[in-house]
Amino acid sequence: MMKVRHSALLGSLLAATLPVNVWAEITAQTMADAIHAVIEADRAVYADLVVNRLAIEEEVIEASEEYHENSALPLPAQMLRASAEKVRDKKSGFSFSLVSPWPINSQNKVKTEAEIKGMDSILKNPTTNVYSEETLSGKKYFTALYPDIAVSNSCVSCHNNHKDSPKKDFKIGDVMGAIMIKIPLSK
Amino acid sequence: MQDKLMIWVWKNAKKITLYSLWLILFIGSAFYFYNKLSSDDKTVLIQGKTSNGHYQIEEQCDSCHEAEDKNELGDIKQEKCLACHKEKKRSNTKANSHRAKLFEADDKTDLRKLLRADQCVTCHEEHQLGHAGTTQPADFCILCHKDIAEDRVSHKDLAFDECGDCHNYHDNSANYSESFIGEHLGEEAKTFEHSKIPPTQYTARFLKKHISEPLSWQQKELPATVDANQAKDWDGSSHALAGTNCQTCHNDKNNEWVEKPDHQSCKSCHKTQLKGFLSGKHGMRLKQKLPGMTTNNARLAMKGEHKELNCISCHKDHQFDAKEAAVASCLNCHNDQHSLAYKETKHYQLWKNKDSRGASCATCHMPKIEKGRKKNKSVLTQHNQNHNLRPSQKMVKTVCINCHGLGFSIDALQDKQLINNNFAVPPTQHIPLIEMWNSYNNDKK
Repeated sequence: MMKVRHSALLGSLLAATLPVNVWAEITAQTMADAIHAVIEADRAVYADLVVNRLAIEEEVIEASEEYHENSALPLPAQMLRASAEKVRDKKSGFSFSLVSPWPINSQNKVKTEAEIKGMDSILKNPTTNVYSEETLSGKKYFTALYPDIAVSNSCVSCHNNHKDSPKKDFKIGDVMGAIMIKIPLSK
Repeated sequence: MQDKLMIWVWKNAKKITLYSLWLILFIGSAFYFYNKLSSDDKTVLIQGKTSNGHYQIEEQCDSCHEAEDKNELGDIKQEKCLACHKEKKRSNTKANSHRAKLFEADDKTDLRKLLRADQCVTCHEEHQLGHAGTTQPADFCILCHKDIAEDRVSHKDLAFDECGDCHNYHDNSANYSESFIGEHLGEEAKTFEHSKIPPTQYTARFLKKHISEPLSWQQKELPATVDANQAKDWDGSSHALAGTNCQTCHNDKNNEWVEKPDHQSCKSCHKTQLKGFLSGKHGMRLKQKLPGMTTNNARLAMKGEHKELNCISCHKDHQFDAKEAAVASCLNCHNDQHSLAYKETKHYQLWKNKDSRGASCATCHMPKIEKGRKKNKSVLTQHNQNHNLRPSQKMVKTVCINCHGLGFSIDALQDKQLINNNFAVPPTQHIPLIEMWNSYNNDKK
């Protein structure tokens, strides 16, 4: 009886390890795609359930770039950057950010060759993600760029009216930049 | 035999004395240094002068030099710096656009090549004389911001060693953010009738929260062994009004009477204030569990010998009179040019006559700060005076703008003469900040 129980246990343990094999085949690209899905969903939920509901529909609190000074909600883009920073703290290996050819803060401009090329191809073909590999300071990275499209009026009006924005004629549906995910491939 | 030895000793007396002296000196100094190195006090090892920011705690080597064994002197770890110098949690605002963390990112490798801004020690090296131990040249901003005039035409004719006149590397929100200037346009020369910040009303707030009745002299609950005369000042004080009797402060966790309660006893009610106090120059030694700062250890000119800093040095027991703490307590110790000039100023004359336009030492260096919104709104005194010690970089927004117009404030704060005479006369120079703001706006249209 004991033996049967043991083999049943062993069997179920083996079965449980099967999905691990599937995960072992995960590529940098599938990982980046999964991370991107979470980042984008989180930002959309924050924009919809928090900012849009409380600042625009119910008007109980403002959303503002200088949110700390104004006791306001951070903007969805700031929320994304704040969580990117949190992720960096955890030293989980990968990083993500928002980049654009026309950023409000010039630090967020596409910089490396792979980023510039990738951004160009997104502007030509706004529905396709761009994947590439690049070496920065001797370290090899998988770099993925996901088109970031202006989905709501608040994205467009904020960028068009911001004094430091280099582009002031965004329309809904335009590519505003990209969500960039970098995964190191070497140590 | 004995004679021979005596003769030998006699002949070599000089040598023997020298060798014995040498031996005693060698063993003595070895013993001295062994003791010094293995004791908790390692101040003998300090090389050079510690910065104005850290000299108060220099004897506590492991505040900065992390070591597993207390007999070792560890390396400087970034976490040790950040344990006291917490980077503001707010992300992506001008308040903290130079956070060390930002420069750790993969996409900031190009910036890290210019300046290792992800490491505190790149700019702050200790045990070298210099303000806050800064070791970078005054014009180091040029490394990353050389094209600033392209982005801000208003900055075209400014030199890179002047950036610090207006901007603070670690906190650029304090004064000259563009939206802040925009909000205060048109009130350049205005002076308000009274400060816009309401008084703290701490007692009223406390009573509202804790539903306690004011206490009479009979309700003081003083142990019979203690002389009641010592506690006379408590009668009618803010503590008595807020229902705080002798035992609230004097009893420890085990309900044992403590003759002289320390700052920890104030914590149960004044947590935020204590946190500020321990973070600033007044309380930083206590935070490191060292004895409090004393007047004779200060680098600034002070009065009196060995006056030690804790809560009751400024808030005299048992009156705890906030008015006393706002001027008299400061001038009891501070003896520099700026402090000595204060009583000659209009700020003081008005304050002394209880005119709401007056300003005490605390009005400017420990200003009232508003926290929260609407129902949760409260006004507290900022007890970390480090936040308000750099006039031109940090004090417009938190202090001056509460009573004066923006243009007037900027002109005054940039005038170094006025700092010495404690703003006794109006500023004579003009800083074209509003003009710069206008040119920036016209350019961006």
